[in-house]
This record gives sequence, C-alpha cells and structure tokens, in this order.
Amino acid sequence: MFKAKCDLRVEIDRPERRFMPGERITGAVLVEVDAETKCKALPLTLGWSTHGKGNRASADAAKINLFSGTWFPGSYRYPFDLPCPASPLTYHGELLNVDWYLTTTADVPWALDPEARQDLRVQLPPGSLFDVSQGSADTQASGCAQAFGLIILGFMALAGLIPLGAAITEGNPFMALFSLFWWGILGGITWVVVKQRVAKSAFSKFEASVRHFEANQLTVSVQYRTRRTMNMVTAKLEVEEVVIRGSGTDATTYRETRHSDARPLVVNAAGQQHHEFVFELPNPELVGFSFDAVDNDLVWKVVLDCDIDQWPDLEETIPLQVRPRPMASLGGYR
Amino acid sequence: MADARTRRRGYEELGLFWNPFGTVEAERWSELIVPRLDLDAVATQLRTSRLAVVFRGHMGRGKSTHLRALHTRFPEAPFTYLGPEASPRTHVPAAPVCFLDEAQRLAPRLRRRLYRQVIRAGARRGPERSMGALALTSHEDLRPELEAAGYTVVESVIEGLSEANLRTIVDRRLRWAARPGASLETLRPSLADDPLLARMHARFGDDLRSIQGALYDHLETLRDREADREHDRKPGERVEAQV
Repeated sequence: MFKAKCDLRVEIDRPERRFMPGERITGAVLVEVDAETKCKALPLTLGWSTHGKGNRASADAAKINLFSGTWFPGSYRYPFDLPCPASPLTYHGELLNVDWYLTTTADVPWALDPEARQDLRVQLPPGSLFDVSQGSADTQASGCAQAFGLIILGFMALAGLIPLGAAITEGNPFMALFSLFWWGILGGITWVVVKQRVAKSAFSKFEASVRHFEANQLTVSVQYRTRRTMNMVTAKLEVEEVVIRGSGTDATTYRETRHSDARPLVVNAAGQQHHEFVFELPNPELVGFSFDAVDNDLVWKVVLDCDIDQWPDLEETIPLQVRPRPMASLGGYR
Repeated sequence: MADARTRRRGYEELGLFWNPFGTVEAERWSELIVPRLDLDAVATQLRTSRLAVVFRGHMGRGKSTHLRALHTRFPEAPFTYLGPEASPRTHVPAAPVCFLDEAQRLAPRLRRRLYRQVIRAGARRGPERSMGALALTSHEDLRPELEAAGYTVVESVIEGLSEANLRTIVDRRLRWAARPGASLETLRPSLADDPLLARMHARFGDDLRSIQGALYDHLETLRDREADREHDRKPGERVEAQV
C-alpha cells in the first residue's frame, strides 16, 4: 500500500548554532510531502533536556504553532524567530549533559507523527561575570529525616528488649547472641545519627561563611570556640555532578567530581580561632554553573572537615550557588 | 579530577544528539520497544474485557519496559511500581484499568483485594467500557489467583533474545538519538556493529538491561575518543572549542 511521505527538517540560520541569552534564534522548518496531507498542527518547541547517566529532566521555554491546514505535494518553508533563553546554559559533563533543542512534530492522521529536531548551544560571551552566593542547606528535610530515624531507633530499641529479656531470664545462649547482634546494629545506626551532634557539642561557637570579592577568588571564613584541641581544619571546594537513575527504592545515585581543591590547615590549639581559606575559583564556563533539576544537579560546595583531638570529626557543608550575572532585561537564571 | 574542556564535545562528532543507551522519557517507551506481542491488540482487550495481562521473566529482560509501553496507551490509568524495599502493604490505587509493576511484592491478601476493587471500578463505568482489567509484571505465577478472581489471564513470558532482535532494539535506539543526516548505515559500523553485538549477546545472553549498560559505557568511551581527537585537531583553540 502506498504510504505518504512527510519529511521535516529544522534549519537554524546561524551555522554554528551558538547563541547568547537574549539573541534571536532564527531559522525555518522545512516540510516535504509527496501526497495531500492534512496537518492539524505543526508546533515548534524550544526546550532543554538533560541526558546522560541519570533520569531525564526537561522543560519547554517556548512553543509556537507554525501551520495547520492541508499540504499538497511539494516543499514548504515556515520561518521562526525566537528569543534565546537565559538559562540553563548548555553543559556537557561526565554524567550530566544539558542541551537545548528545537523540536517540531507534524500532527497528521498517522500512527506516528513525523518529528524533527535540531540542537543549539546557549552560552555566555567569553569572560562573562558570575556571582557566587551561599546557598541554604535543606535543614527542614534533614530535621524531619532525623526525627523519623529517632522514632525507628526507639522502636528497634523496644523490640531489642525482648531477646535481651529472654537471654537474661532463661539464660538462652542463642538469644544472648541474637541480642548482642541486635544491639550492635542499633549502636552503629545510633552512632551515625548522633555523630554530627556529638562532634558539634565540642564547640560553644561555630560559624562559617563565604565571601566572593574578586572575579575568581572565594574566601571561606571559619570562626569557632572550643575547649578541645583542634588538630587540623581542612576546607575543600568541590564541584560535583549528582544524578539519579531509577525511581523510588530502586533509585541509584551517581556522583562525579568536576573540580576538587583541598586546603588543610594545621591548628593544634584550643580556644577561640579564626581561619580564612582563599580559593581560586575554576572557570564556571568550563566546569559548569550551578544547576538544579529533578534527578540532575551540578553542585558547588565548600566542605569543612574539623579534626578534633580524641573526638569525632565535624564535617560541615556550605552549599554555593554559582550563577551567571543576570543581564538587564533578561531576568534571573535557573 | 575531570578536565571539563576535553568533555565538551563528542556526541555531535559521532552523529548523535545523546547516548542512545541512556535513560528514556516515559512517553518514548512505546516508540523504542520491540514488543514480543501486539500491544495495540492487548490494549483493545484491556479496554473491553475482564482481562489480566501478566508479563513474566527474569530481571532485566524487559517486563517493565513492556508494561510501561502498554501504559502509554492508558495515560489516565494509575501505574504503581513496587521497588525492592516497598512494603507488601503498599496502597495500590484501583481503577477500571490498573497497572502494577512487580506485583509479587504486594501481600497476597492485598492483591486479592485489588483484583476485586478493579472489577468493581470497571463495573461502575458500565458494560460498554472496561470490565475491570489488570496489567502486571511478576516473578511468580499469579494465574491461579487471577483466574479465581474471575479474570481471563494472558501470560507473556519475556525471555530469550535473538541476535536479530537485539539488532532491531539497538537500531531503534540509534535512530532515536541520530542527528539529522545520520543514517543507520553510517551509525552502525562505527557505534554498534554486528560483531560487537554478537560479543555482547554471547556475554550477557538475554539480559537486555546489562547489554544496554555495556553499550552505554562503550559509547561514552567513543565519545571521549572523539572529544580528544577534536582537541588534537585544534590545539591552539582549546578554550574556544568548548563554547
């Protein structure tokens, strides 16, 4: 049986397909049909999508309908003119990629609608300015998680009393062994939950902040007061891709470090201290700006590791937001 | 530490938009699957009869892929996935057509209750619509309990994967990721030729998930190589090349 042909193509006027935020993206959708074809709609969508190791996240920035009606055999050209969005910027990494696409689909009465796509790069002019700000940790969520964890631990402790009681009253060695195993696990989990609190209890004051004075310099300031001897403080600037593949309990998280710069400082003293760590920032145009989408993140952070003498280490994370400096009239960045 | 500059290119030089063996958007499942049975016919039956379709098979063979592809024909129907740590008492919403992935993880008593609820939900829609239908994946044989609940059971065992079938699956993925102008004839030899697929098939058998994982890594290696070549071609324009 004869099957009609409908070929679509998205052509962008600029051959290298690179655009800066605010520029006009111009081009045309080309259609070739060899039989009379009714087309309900010919939408053109400008949107971004992640791809790589993690689940896909995507969003549309603009959608226009280029045509609806009947095509007779021949070629058609539908020009378009769209503003280039401000964010997210095109990013190609190890586990995570963010790309922009112009996608068109002809809504025809066939089983599969013909589709065409072309990618483009959204990028900043070389040497563009960027801002670094201190992000906020999701303390509410971690607080809820901790409360839930403590309730579970409480139930586990109550359940652990049964074999312990049986071991003591009946002198049952199997129950004694099981009880030892149960309480061992419980102790391990409890330690993981409370370790950070115990570590922090060594300090009567602990403050950490970041400042971004110059284009490529970040200063991390740490002030604390402790009665214990601080052996060493290490500040680490990290840029990391974090993606999730799968869903629910079947989800797997993958991480890839894009940049890591550790600055250890030997202290060997107690009392009030103030340290400053100065980092050369990597170029965000190379390692990527902060990006936050469902299951796909590019995370900038400073990790402070405090090695306290004969006490659990304290690890504090300062999340950073590294964004291109907004241009007037374009609004904020993602 | 990764050098970002060497990873800024790669797919385009391979004739691709993205790695064809990465994750797929839910709405694309039905385009990429090479089904073992006529999913349109099954969908018609699900709409009109008291039917339970059960996809059975080992891990990674494509049970869930079939179920999800079938689900794209019922966008209004609830889809529940019970992960390995899901409670056997998880609430599964009932509807005239109900999708349940890993049904064996639901407690038998709750499964039987779900079967009854789905039939009741179907009956409320009237006889001209669904009579209550289920689409499931399971590692266990659920036929006896489904038949006892009054369902006609269609069981599809997803196992075995011929090299020809693997070729078709891989070709669909390549076509999905291909850039304009790149054809299967040009992509196959450089990205996933027959000897490579034969080796994968010999190594992983019908474990399609593992084959796709290995092909994903293979493509990433090729991407690295292309990015390095690109870098070697323009040594003086290293930073410029990334933008």
